[in-house]
Amino acid sequence: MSKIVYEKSKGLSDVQLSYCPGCTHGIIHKLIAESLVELDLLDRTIAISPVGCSVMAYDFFNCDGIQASHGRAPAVACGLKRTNPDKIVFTYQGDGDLAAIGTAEIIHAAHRGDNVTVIFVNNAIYGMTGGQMAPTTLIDMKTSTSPLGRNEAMMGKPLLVSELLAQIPSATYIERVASHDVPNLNKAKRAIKKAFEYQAAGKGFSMVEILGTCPIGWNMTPADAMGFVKDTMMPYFPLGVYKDEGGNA
Amino acid sequence: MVFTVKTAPKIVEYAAKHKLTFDENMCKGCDLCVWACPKDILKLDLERVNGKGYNPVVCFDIDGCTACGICARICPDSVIKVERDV
Repeated sequence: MSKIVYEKSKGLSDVQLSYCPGCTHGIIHKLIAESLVELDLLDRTIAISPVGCSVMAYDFFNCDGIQASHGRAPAVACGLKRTNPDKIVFTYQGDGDLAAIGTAEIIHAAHRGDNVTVIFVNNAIYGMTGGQMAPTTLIDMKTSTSPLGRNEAMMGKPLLVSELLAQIPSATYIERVASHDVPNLNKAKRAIKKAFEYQAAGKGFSMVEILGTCPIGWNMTPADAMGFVKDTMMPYFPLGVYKDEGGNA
Repeated sequence: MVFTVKTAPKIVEYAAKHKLTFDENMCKGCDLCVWACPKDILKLDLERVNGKGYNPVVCFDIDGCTACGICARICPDSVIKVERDV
């Protein structure tokens, strides 16, 4: 008699992921798929994929999907949710998409309090285009457009998106989690499930920021990149719940 | 339109008390399961490559497996299935 401890989630299709070896996008896809299956929401979910590494995310989930223009995934999601209020709509965005070109869209989606879920993967770099500096790139981090490291005097300090969105009165649930080891993956999954539960209950805008890795863009092995998240990213991007008004709504 | 690739699965099983099942053609040889395994019973097979051209992960000491499931949870490509004997 054997019990299955872990197997591939029914929420993921059998298409091979297009991500580089060791990229945490795949791990975060698994958490989303498992959450949707466990909450029994998968058959009425629509995924909005961004522009970036995860541009083909609609192929990887066993639910319907739309690919939005660069940064405009929250706008597409809001329109879709307003016309189909019985669907569960989530966007899956990276930091170049959400924190750079899509800043206006994410802020105004939160400002309107639209009942959508945003999964924000922060890996501090533009991965797909070749490792350029993003607004979330850490000070002194070397990228292809900041070969001497990010210079604070010239380029400012990294943008803290969760703190920014937590200031917005209409946002309901904002949390930052990490994906570098199994205990943090369990916490990340709880946060994602909570965000989807809030959306299913009609409680308003929710965003989960997940610290991820980009081993190729960072010039590290996947295992070293996991250590970089823990030792270098987590002190600047503190984990935690920044806003949770789901209980009062 | 689907731009992505599907390859035939290549299932490899390691069974003692507990059972590990690897879908080798999905493996990208990223080493995360090897890094995460608390019992150090996984390694990349540098002698051969899978359908994608990566060195696939193998288990060299299935008797040491405790079916904790850490390797399967950390794997980005859902290669590993873990079954616990109860």
